[in-house]
Amino acid sequence: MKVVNIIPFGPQHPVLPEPIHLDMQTEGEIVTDVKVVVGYIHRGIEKGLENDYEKNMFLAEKICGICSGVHTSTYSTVIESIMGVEVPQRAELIRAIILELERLHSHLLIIGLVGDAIGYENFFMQTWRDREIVMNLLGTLTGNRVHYGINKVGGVRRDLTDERIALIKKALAELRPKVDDIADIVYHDYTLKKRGRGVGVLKKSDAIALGIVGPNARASGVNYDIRSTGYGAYKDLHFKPILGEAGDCHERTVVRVKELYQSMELIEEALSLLKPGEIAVRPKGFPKGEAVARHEAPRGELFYYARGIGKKEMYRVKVRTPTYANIPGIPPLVKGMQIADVPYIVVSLDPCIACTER
Amino acid sequence: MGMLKNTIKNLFSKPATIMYPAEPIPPLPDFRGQYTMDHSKCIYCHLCEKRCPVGAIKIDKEMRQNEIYLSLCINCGVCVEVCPKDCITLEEVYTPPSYTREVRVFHTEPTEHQLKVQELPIYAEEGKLCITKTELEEIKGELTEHQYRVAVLPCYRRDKADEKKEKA
Amino acid sequence: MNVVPITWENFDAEMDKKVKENARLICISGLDTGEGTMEVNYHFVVNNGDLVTLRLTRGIDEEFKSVVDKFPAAVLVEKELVEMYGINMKGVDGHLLLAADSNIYAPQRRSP
Repeated sequence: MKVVNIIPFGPQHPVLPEPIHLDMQTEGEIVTDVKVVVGYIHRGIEKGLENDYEKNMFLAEKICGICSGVHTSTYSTVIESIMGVEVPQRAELIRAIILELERLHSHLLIIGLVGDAIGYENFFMQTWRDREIVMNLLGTLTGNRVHYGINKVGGVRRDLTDERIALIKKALAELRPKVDDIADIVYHDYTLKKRGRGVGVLKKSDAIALGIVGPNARASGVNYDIRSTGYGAYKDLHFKPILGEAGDCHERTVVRVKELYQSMELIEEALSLLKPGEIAVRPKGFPKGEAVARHEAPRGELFYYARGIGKKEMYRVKVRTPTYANIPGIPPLVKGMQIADVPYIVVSLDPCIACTER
Repeated sequence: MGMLKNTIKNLFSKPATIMYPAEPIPPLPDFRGQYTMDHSKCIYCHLCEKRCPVGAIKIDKEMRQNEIYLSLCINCGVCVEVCPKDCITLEEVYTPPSYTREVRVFHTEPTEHQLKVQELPIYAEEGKLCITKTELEEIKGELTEHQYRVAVLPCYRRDKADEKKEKA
Repeated sequence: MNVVPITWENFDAEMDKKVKENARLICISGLDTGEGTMEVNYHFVVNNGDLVTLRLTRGIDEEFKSVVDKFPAAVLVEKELVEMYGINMKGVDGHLLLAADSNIYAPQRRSP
């Protein structure tokens, strides 16, 4: 009779930001099979979204803490598509600036957690200290460090005055040398390269077949970035997706560092395009019809489908978050690896389990 | 080489963390903090109560008071935008933690005019009429024109409310 | 929104056509109309970047077919569809998000 070893990983583990459970079957130190279990923080938000369409904005925001801005932007876009509302140009640019600032702080968070997962505490603390510049800037611009509440159906709620624009420029000037330091460590450090090269390789054919999205797919060479379709203000900004080649854990971190530089340039370009104008339009009537919307969250492609039947309450809202599409990518990456590499592989995929389970 | 330089720099600089809660957090300008209101401007239109996404505001016009359930409030700022008289403000510091589910009550003292009206023999409790409309018609001769009009209005509305309850 | 209705008879043919076009399955969303019918929407992205939705309308107590062998990206979405609506899909068990010992059945269903 063959004895099978099953080693559990999670739901409580020091490297995991949120609870997920893996049952790993091992032979010696090598993992042969894995089963992924989710469902620890399901809150039933899709059923809760069958409610007043303006109050839904605050519930959609609370799906996730790190990517809350893009949830409200996508929800606003889908309701505006149904009701036929045209958002003014200045509001689109303000939304793009807040979304790119959110991408900055989210990528700095996961780069730090990658350092924490392999024991490099020094690097983790330095990255999170530099992230505080962006968090305090967002706190002053929007009113809160997380859960910004900047969007409403028809536009944005707060304007960017001249003092706030000066604050953004000052914060970016302070942040740039620190990002140069972090990039220098990620490209050249001996520890990060030795742990990361050749570990958790995602082949390009697997990435397309399993539907992996975000920087995980771009690090394997798949050219899939929703910002190229030109939603919102991105049709006026110069944008090109950043691709990698090797597809291993280190390459995913390198792609995220390069996206930090790209976000800072996009913010400066958007600030130069701001013109005086209105920031919101008042919608009339109730939503009747159906629509879809897709945005590029920091972790990948976020998809919303909504249907209204002419009443104040929405009939159905379906949310498909990027980590939901990335979870089927865990078993092929983990099989054949050693047990000590599994936490690093799971964290390098940037899992946001609160988004997955809603 | 990059990390070594940063490590040596960090050995000789002060820590980046704050000893919270012993030291307070420096407040950020334009932050959405705790709810507070200036009750003397409230006109009881109920707009903030209707538009609050979680139902944290309760308004009572007869008792002239507003309640805010601080543990439900999500500091979204919708009430600040819809109030027509700009009574509500959000301070720049967080709601501090507490052991109980706090409810804060804002109410106003009655004005000069309201106090004078209440001195009439027909008011028993503060602001509540205690006789019916027919009895008020009998003592109409003892009141001035203005006193009668002020007395009749709440009384008439209470009679209508009682009629509706009896029918239902 | 570009909606193409399909029927139970030409379901396999339509899915094979999408496999041949190298379309990418984004999501499967379900909707209960409240009158005993269930709409299942298959959202695809085709090669020129457009979004196409295939809509299958069937009674809620009838049998549905799984597309996991053609599109491996659908493995989690179908489990959630079966769990939330209580429909009958061959080869798919509905244990993803709700707790194993809970007595909640098909919470998003509107038809009796």
